[in-house]
Amino acid sequence: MAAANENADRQVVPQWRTFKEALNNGELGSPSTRKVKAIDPSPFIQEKEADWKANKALPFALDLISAAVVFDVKTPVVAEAAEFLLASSGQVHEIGVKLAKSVLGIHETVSGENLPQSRIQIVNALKQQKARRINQPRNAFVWTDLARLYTILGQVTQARAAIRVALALEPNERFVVRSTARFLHHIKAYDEALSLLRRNPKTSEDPWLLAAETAASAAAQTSPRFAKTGLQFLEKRDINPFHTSELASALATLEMRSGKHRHSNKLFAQSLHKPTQNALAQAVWATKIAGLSALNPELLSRANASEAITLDFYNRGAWKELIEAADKWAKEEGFSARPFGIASSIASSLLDQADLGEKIADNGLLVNPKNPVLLNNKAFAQVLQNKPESAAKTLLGLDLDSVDTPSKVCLMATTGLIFFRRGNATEGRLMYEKAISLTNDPILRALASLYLASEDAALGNKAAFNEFKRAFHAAQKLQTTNIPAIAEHIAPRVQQLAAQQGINLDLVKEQKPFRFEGDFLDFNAKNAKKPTA
Amino acid sequence: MQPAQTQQMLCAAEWLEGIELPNGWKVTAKTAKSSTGGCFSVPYFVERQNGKNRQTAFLKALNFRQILVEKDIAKAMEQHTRAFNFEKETLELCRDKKLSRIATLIDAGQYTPKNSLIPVAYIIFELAKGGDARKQLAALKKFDLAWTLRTLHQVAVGLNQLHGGGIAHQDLKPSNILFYEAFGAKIGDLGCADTADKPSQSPRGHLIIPGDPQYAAPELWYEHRSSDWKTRRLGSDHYLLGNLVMFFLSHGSSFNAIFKGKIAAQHRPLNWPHDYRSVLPYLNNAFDETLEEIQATLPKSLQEKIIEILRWLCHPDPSLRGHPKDISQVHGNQFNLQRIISAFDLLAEKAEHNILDY
Repeated sequence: MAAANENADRQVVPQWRTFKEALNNGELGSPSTRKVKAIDPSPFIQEKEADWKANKALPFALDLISAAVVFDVKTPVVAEAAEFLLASSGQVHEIGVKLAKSVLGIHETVSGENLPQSRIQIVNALKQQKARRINQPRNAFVWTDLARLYTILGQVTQARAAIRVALALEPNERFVVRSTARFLHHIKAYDEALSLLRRNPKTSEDPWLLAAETAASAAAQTSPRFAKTGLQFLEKRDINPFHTSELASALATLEMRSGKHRHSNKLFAQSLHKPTQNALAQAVWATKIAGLSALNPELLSRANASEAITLDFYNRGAWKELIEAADKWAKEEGFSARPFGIASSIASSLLDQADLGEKIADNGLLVNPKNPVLLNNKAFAQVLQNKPESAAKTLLGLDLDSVDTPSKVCLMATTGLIFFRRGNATEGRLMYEKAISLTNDPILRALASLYLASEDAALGNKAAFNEFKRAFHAAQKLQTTNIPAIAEHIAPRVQQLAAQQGINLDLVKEQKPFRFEGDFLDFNAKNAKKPTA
Repeated sequence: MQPAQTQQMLCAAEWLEGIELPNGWKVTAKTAKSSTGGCFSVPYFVERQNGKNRQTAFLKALNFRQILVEKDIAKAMEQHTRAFNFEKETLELCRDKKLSRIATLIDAGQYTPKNSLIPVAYIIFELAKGGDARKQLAALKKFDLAWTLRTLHQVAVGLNQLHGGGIAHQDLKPSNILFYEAFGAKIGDLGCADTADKPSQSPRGHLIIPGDPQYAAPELWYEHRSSDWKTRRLGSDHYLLGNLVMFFLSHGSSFNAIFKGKIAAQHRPLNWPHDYRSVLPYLNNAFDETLEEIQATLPKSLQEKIIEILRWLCHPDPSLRGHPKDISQVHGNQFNLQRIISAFDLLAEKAEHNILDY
């Protein structure tokens, strides 16, 4: 079976963007506002205007334009000087032309940052970044971006070396610390990530680092140290809510885990006042886990939050759209296995496009070559394409003891499926049963039981139909997950097999999933419709 | 005395045209604007017979018109007088130390007009016939690499002479670079200067940005003041020299205009409530991007050296300004300009002998 996508442990771990992206998203600003007095530029501008009027020559025009750019001032005389410069552009240095254009508001078409997509593009980007590292050896952001590219290419050792340099150059800077924490999370060094965040003197005063510490604590399965400080931070009135969005989201997740749903929902609502993409993704994820109402899709598309959009499609059962959104997500967070995991699973399990599922898993494996979820999904897709031998090869050499329990359950179930398709039903059944006995997670148990019963039914085993019915009904109870959808997707084939044997397999679907009616819902209702003029 | 009479006396500096001064100078004409700056003075051309030659010069007369609008006239008068005297004394110091690349003080004195009880104080400099850097560039019309590099060498020498005399200029900018026929460039207007022996006690020495903020170093925009005088004042002069490098090489643009465009709005001074140290990583990145952009506009033969020099002079972190060797030496002088002077001299020599491709 494909790995279950019900990520029970999604945390607000920092998203690792390029420095430029983080800057453009506004993630690197200050949560509070200003202190220094603005300089009155008028005497300086007037003096340069007078000089320009008296001389009407290029250097005087450029001097005035430069002053206008520095002071962010535009007067008719400044505009006249800028036009004069552009009219004589043949004699003006290209920097001068650029400054004149900026004063006149003529913006050269700057294409947004093109994220490298294919492996060749990533390799080329890495080459360029290495050159920048030589020219700008003290620029911590260059080293961080370099580490990111290494991580996308799966070169963890080189990535670690680069991130270490970045951290040595800027040990307390938000972007560097959060990127390092994300990298450590990626390589599953949870304790190291937590220790880094806790050691940092800035953590207790920076909401972005507080959010990261809360998420890292959850990943390291320990209590956050600054939860109280974080809650106090959220009460401050003079802070731009964008800067506390992830903190509110991380604390909401913490409260949700402790069963304090009312407080958790309030915090989720707070996280959505001016949400980051990460907070949006968390809120979408939480809607399913906590049984909340869905988020306004407009909010998601406005924020261009590809992970949140993917999870939203997942919650809505819009599988085809999910594949597209996950592709965008994968391009943005190229080093993460999650978009590949979710898309490959959906393509094989719910869209009957096992070939696509295999391709997506393969793409993910380029970056995360030993990722058990992707290996499992690839093998599952191969079995569905009647290539059980290739599937067996895919899983060859994978050390089951080194993977976490949910992955282990999926891998054993897929191995069971391989045995079934190779004609060894006894071994197959045994593997499935072992997988089921390994876990108490109702999601995994239901999923494995569904596939086992379906395989048994295909062999004409009459008892399997009853087993399938039982598994189907167990799946129906998991309405906050996509297991009912998988069950309903498999059911027609099993019902057809039952009919061939004269058995009436009556399967009852649950009508409405449970929904929590609280503040979170109200917040969404308020934001769903914009008032019209 | 009538108020009109008082005003006339206070503004007597404005009516000196045609007057013969006690030391033989004749005031010929008022100039449009002082190229040595200062809003407390009225500029004139003066001339004097010197043997067979007629010597022309430039005069700055202390004017009190501006103080008439001040609320506290006594304080304003004291400040004006102090600023005038400071400039005069600093120029005398430069003359006594024979600082050849500083605009030379020729004479100073005072003159009492017939209808006034208050004398007009004045100082006389040698006349910069080539005008300031902007005028000189406009006259040149075509970019001349050898001239540009030699001028930068001369300005660096001038700044080094000032620093050697314990004076930080604080307002080094195109309008304060003056050109003399055969001699080349000299630095003028010491009105914003500060001295090492009396740190921050000069008329503008206590200000965070003593000179024109258009060219000021980034730490000053964020109101960051190093407690070390050298870092605060000489470091700032280094930055101003870097600005001039860009001015001459781009025929008029300032380094700060490019740099400011690279700083994200969220990190600009008005949006940054924290200390300078915490914004430095972002400024360092903007600085690197600025150098990348400048590098692309420079001829290949100059790229490496000019970018290196700009990095030494304009680094946003004042503790990293200066030549790396001077920074790393235990007893070295971080703000020693000697290596930068040598670099410009070498480049100028090469350009003068057409060894540099352009």
